[in-house]
Amino acid sequence: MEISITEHKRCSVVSVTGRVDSFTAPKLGEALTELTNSGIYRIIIDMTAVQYVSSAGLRVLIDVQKTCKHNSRGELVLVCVPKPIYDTLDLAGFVPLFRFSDNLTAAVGSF
Amino acid sequence: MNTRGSPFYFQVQTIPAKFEQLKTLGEFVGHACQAAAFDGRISYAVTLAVDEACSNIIEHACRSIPETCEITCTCAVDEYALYIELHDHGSPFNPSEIPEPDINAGLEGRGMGGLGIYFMRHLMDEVNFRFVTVDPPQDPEIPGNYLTMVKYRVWAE
Repeated sequence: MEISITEHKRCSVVSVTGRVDSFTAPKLGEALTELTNSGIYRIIIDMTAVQYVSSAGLRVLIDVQKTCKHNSRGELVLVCVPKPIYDTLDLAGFVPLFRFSDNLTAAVGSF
Repeated sequence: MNTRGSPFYFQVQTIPAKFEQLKTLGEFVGHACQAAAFDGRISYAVTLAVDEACSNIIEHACRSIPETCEITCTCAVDEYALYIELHDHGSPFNPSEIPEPDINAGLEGRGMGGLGIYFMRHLMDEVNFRFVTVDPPQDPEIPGNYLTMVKYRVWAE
């Protein structure tokens, strides 16, 4: 799993590539925690190149969403989520808990 | 491992019970899914269920023996289904004792316990668990946890 972070004026974009499982999810969690610890609570996760997410990855997303929402007007937006991963989110009942977008530029502009 | 018919595909792989091995095991299960002629959506579901099961085994059953614990995965395919058996020799761990999460809870109400089990139960058609204790000489099986999951093969609708 690879992570790259791009800072924009009103949010940060975290691009994730590869597998997010019990082995790699902590690394994603650390990267997102670093952002929230530095006061960034508007975070876009670009999942275009994510191949696979297990419950370990979902755990990270929920934890970070809770942190972002506790801080005014903050939230996590999930962009370009591949269908099998969206289906997993749906099975877990997570779809109502996040904002989704199929367009990264629009998502960045939405903040 | 019990199968309903005669398997035409039968493979076994043993991995150290470490999270970094999940990817290797996923590839192994992927081959079995191909043998079962599952499409991409079902293969993803089966691989995810096995990942969740193994993550729980590593986290719970193998906690007492982290350096030596291994998971043996057996995959068999017959005309009816793909059968997957996961065996470990760690502490007894019965996944059915873990309650399911409340998937309708809002953000604040969502604990993360039980999500892996929930996925296993909803992604696979059968999930069975048994724990074999050492009981020589009658019991020839290797002791430990045996988790069996079955995904049915559905023919032309």
